[in-house]
Amino acid sequence: MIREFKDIKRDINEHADVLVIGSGAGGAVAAKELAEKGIDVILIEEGSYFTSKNYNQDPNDMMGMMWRDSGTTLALGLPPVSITLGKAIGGTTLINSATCFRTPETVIEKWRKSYGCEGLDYKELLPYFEKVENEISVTELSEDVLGAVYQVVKRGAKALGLSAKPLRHNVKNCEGAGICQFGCPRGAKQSTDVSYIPKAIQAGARIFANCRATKLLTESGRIRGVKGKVIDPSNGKAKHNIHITSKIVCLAMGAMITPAFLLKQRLANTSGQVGKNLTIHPCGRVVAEMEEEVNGHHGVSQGGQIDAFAGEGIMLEGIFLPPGLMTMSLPGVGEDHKYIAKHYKNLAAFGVMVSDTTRGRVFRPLLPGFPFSSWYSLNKTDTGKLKKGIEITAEIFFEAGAKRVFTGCTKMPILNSKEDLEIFKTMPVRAWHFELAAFHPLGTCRFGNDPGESVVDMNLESHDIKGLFIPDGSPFPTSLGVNPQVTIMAFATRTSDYIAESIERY
Amino acid sequence: MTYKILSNKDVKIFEALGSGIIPGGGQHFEMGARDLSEKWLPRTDYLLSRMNLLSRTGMRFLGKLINIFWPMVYLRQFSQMIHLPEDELVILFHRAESSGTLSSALILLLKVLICPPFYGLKEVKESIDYKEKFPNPKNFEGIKA
Ligand SMILES: Cc1cc2nc3c(=O)[nH]c(=O)nc-3n(C[C@H](O)[C@H](O)[C@H](O)COP(=O)(O)OP(=O)(O)OC[C@H]3O[C@@H](n4cnc5c(N)ncnc54)[C@H](O)[C@@H]3O)c2cc1C
Ligand code: SF4
Repeated sequence: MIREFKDIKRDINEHADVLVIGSGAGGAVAAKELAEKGIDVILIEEGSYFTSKNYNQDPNDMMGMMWRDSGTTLALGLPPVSITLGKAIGGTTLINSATCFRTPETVIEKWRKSYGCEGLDYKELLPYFEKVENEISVTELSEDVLGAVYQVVKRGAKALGLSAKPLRHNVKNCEGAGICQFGCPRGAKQSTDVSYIPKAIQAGARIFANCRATKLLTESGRIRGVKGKVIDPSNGKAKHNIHITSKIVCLAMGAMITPAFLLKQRLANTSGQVGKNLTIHPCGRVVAEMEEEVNGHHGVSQGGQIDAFAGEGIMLEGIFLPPGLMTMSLPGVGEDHKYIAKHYKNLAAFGVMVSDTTRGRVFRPLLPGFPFSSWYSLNKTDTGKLKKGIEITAEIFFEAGAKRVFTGCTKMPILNSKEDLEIFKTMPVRAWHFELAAFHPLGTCRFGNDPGESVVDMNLESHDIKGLFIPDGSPFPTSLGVNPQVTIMAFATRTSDYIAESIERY
Repeated sequence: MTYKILSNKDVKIFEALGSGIIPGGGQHFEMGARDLSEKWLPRTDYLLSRMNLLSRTGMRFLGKLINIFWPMVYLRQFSQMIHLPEDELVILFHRAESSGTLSSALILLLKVLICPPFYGLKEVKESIDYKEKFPNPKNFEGIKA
């Protein structure tokens, strides 16, 4: 059973061996793995608990319900970047696109050779990837479920001698309702609320929703537990106090909030690296108006990928959105806007994801009500990669027969022909000409063997505070170039093994 | 109609923003934001109510600034935006969006509070021939805080 605000009538005073904070890709995995090994676990999550009975396929309602701050979280910079986060049992996995990748071997190599991660071995990680993929049912979907946008892109890519491949997803019986980021109405998506959390509960973990951690308790360099507040989800007001003691705390609030939480309390930062090294996989989106009806919303929202430019740090991945969000993100008001809305069925869209060399930073919350502050300003190299990705995607769409292409670049937002594309290619652009969004914050408590250069060790335990682990997106020292949930889950599983083996020492 | 967050003035401002972006009539579909404001504005109000206090106050303040300054900047008129007829609102937003200045980014921000609330309405979905692939689950219990 998940205890929610309505079930909590008084202050919470509890003890557990391990306390997990956050129930997303990192936290839920740690809770389940540890509980199944017979360890006494409590998990607290700030967001509410939702089920498919609460999903109505309406992005407006769903963003308000389970996206942190209705989806308005961002990093300031030139340009500012929207970084959306989930706030619910399931964390951001509840609102993600269900795409699954293992960490590329080249990335692990890079960490080992250049980021002080000696001893990290790709082969050692393989059983963890397999385990995670089993738990969340990673599968290859049939062509009809992958959707028609994928077919359009495949056609255009083929004409250019490129190959578009299907993405793999963590779903069971997915029927391509195409609304994965707004709560899967079919219960098909295996986000952690439906995969890991039920198993954690079955194994005896105690799960509390609507409970916000506010302070870590430490004593002589050891973790002792956490204080927090029970939050009324209808108005955000704190109602009861939380005091949980534990030998171990797994901080898994995500790469934006975990570092801000530590910085606020001046903890675990002798390296000076907490909050630094933020990478986000900045994304651009290219939308095409096709002659034919595409019906892009009939199929998973992220169907296919083109990885031919991955070596250059450019991944092209599908992304399709319901009408309110699609029309919102395209230029035009009045008749122009209404034309696009009326021709929604003719739209196809694909995303450009940059493996960033830019480094942003998370700060302690500077304004009340915000869980973090952050700065991220896209550098010239990454701007170039983004532009190149947009050009390739536009070319693919024109080859597939697009009437016009929307670039997401304010310097030339609409390309009406291949000739326009040639002009766009020669056009000098700056980072702030792009509308940027990002979905994969990582790196803000990076791991490594050197306590002077990293926040946590290779088991994800703080170099400074014994018993404090960070099994979320924060420890990865560079961007992955691929979507991160499987990486986060695999490392959280590995850390759980380590905790289970060594718990007697705490 | 009572709103949780929007004041009477905010309602007029967001209604004007809506009708400048999605005016009534035209070739593509008849409905405009003003025709259905009693239906989509509560949805905007809901989105705002789920933001933190500073974000929603910022959004409302932005609306107030635009109401006063944009007609001056883009139409050379000393009139508040809420008093402009729909065709002038469209011209105003068109100029703001294509200005290449910060105003273009602000339009995008404001569309967040207008497009998802508007295009999720049943009658609007019908008028653009949009239908979800599957109906909502039979056991739908309603959204939750
Ligand atoms: C729209 C979108 C699409 C995406 N698509 C994909 C995809 O297709 N594939 C992929 O691999 N990745 C995808 N991602 C990214 C992926 O979902 C995240 O990287 C991953 O979920 C991060 O895991 P995490 O454990 O670090 O944090 P989260 O999953 O964000 O979990 C953190 C949890 O901690 C909670 N929390 C925060 N503060 C507190 C507090 N003080 N007290 C208690 N709880 C707290 C939060 O409410 C949240 O539930 C997507 C992300 C988004 C936004
Ligand atoms: S495509 Fe539809 S059915 Fe499949 S996981 Fe996404 S929302 Fe669920």
